[in-house]
Parts: sequence; structure tokens; C-alpha cells
Amino acid sequence: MLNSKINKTSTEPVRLFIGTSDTHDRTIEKIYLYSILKNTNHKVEVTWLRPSMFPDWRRKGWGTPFTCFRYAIPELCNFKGRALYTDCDMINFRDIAHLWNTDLNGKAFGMVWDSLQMNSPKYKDTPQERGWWCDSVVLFDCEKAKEYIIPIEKQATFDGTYKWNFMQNIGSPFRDKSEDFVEQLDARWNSFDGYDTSYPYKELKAQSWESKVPFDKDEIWQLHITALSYQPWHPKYNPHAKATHKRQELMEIFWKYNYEVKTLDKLNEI
Amino acid sequence: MLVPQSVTDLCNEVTTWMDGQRDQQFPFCDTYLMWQDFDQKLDRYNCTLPYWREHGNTVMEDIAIKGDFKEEIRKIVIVKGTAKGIALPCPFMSRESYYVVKKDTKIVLGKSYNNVLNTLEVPDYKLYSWKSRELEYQNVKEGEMLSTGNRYAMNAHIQEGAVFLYVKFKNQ
Repeated sequence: MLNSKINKTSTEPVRLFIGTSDTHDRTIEKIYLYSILKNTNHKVEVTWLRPSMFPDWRRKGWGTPFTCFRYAIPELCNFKGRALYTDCDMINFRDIAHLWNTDLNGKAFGMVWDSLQMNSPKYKDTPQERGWWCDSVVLFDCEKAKEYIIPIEKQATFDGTYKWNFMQNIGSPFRDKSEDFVEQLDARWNSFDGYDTSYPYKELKAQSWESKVPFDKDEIWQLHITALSYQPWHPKYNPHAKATHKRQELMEIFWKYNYEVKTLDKLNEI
Repeated sequence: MLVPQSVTDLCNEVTTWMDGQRDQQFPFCDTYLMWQDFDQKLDRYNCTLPYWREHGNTVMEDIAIKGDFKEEIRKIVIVKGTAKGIALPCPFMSRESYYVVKKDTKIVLGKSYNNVLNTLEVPDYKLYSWKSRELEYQNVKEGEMLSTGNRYAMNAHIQEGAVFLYVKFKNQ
């Protein structure tokens, strides 16, 4: 694990952008925001990045309804200040201001390293077969990020999935090429389904749940319920078979928060 | 036969607290998968909802025919009707059961899958010539259930707001 350094204790609101669908993730959105607000005293300004916000974008080939909207963020912020992006399928357990205030050491992006991220097939059986930055939590220095991201109008008409183009342009899969402008975030801020993404797996082909290194429940700062089939709410846009999440104790937290936010919703019915 | 209380309680709990999912057998309905055994190498699905984890065994005991319920049940899904939602018959015939928990539901039975499928739109149940198509329908009342064996296709004509628990068994 990495000990991230906190740069400053800013009083400016956390400028948080959250990628989500138009309608299929409403409960996890509430759970995520509820969990954030439980754990922070900072103001949080949330912008939901939904397909309806980008009606003219090409989205063919995207894995979710919102996959590439995150790359619009620096321009949406007029290339000024910081911005934090996360997917919506998360539960927060630690003050998000700590993430917001992480020292980027003058770099454009902060991301967690994912040792098991599959790279292009042409790197099969090489040291670069797996491992790259994961963009499901990104801390942007919007001014510095401008250099690495194409304008929104080009993203909107991009033929394919722009994120792969972006990753390639910043050096994927050669980590040393990106080290001057990507700061590694602590993996506890983006714990994939309760596991440590940045663990230096010796057997890079390890993909089974059993071979992954779990975080203890109390070690997780931000849980990312990322594997679509395993998401307990099973969004209707997921084309894959449903599967049972391997960490029932984490699912109990999801269901507890689900009960709490829906109980609050029901106040509107009284 | 009547719907066991454990099934009614489960359906009420699930439709109150869970979000509707998609199931290709029930297009546009809100569905809630509790249990599924796959033929392929996929792991068995067991819903993580704590209520199901606590009461699922009781439900399966109440709906199973024999004691070894986990081996004989292929799928348990709760279905809630929506304005556009329909149910489709399953082309792979095996024992099926519908436990009607909310709103009376018409259920069509026949030995021909296609004939059952062709009844998705029936303008008038009394005028439709069920017999010539070797079909029959039953209006299953709220609180009742209906099962078939593995030589019949079966389908529910689901209304908006109706809730039932659907069970597919394995062919033994």
C-alpha cells in the first residue's frame, strides 16, 4: 500500500464528478453520496455525468453508459483548479477531503495502479501483459491535464472508446513513460470489490477471486463494486449473467445503506 | 394450492427494498433473482440480500418437492409486472411453478411451446379458441399457485403491479 501525502487542508468544496447512467443506478448513487456525507465535514459539490448531459456523443463500444464522460472534466472546469472523478458504484468509508487534498506533486493526474489491468493482446507473455492506471477514481489538475486530453468536441465524435486512446497516449503499457504526469493514489481509495488492485502479484495471470489479495473491511477507504455481474443491484444495462459477490460482509453494508436511503426516500410518501 | 407464507413474506420484502433487474424471460418487467444454477461452469447465483440469506432455505424447503431442494431447483425469480412488461414461456421444458402473490394472473398451459407463445396477445379470453390450439388457461387467484410437469409449456399474462414468484426446476 502507498502512503499518500496530503498536500494542504483546503476549505474549498470538493468538486466531485460522478459517472453514472440516466436511471439505472439511482439507488447506488444515493448510497454513495450518503456514505460520502456521513464521513466528511467538507462541502461537496457533485456533478452527475449522465448520458442525458451528453446527448450527441458516440458511445459505441463503451462498457457502461458513462465510460468516457470523465475525460470531459478538465474542459468542463475551464482547465482551472482541481476536480475529482469517480464512478457511481462506490461506497465511501473515509473523509473524501483526504483524497481531494492528496498531493499530486505537480502532476496532471492521480490514479490508483491496477496490477491486473489487461493490456493490448500484443503484449501477451511480456512484462507488460498486465498493469495500468485505473481511471475509475481520477484526481485531475485540470490545467495540467489539458495537454493530455483531446477537446470535448473531438471526444464526442471519437470513433471507438476514447479511454483506450488516452491510455495509449500517456504511455500504456509502459509505466515509466507516465511517471512524470501520473501520481499514484493509495489503492484503498479504489478497492475493486474489496481487493487490493496495486498488490504486486507475481503471477500476473491470477484472475480468480481466490488469488486476489483482499483488504480487511476496516482497511477500505472507498469500496468500488466494479464487476458488473457482481453488483448486487444488477443494473439493467449489464448484458452479462448475474453473479454472487464474493464478499458477503461488504454486501451487508450495501444492503444496510440501501435500507437507510430508501427509508429516507419513503419520507416523501408520508 | 396456496402460496406459502414464506414466499409471500419474501416477495413483500424484496419488492419493497430491492431495485428491479432485467430477465430475458420477463422483458420489461422488474425482476429480482434469488437463486440460479447454471448448466455452464458459472457459479451458482445466490442473492446477497440479508433477508434472503436468512430465510432462503425456508422458502426453498416450502417450494421444493423433495428434500434435496438445492439440487432440484434451477431458478427462483420474483417478477413484478410493469406497464410494458410481459412474460415468455421457457423453451426448455421442465417443471415450473408460479406463486401468485399480488393480483390474479392468467396462466396459459399447452404442450406446444409455439402455441403458448402465440397467446401473448389475447383480445378476449372467452372468445379465443383454446381447445383447438390444445391450450388452456387458468385464472390463478392471488395467494394461489400453479405448477406443471416437464411436458408442458407455461406462461403468465402478467398485469401491471402483479407480483409472482417463478420457479424453474431441473429435469431429474
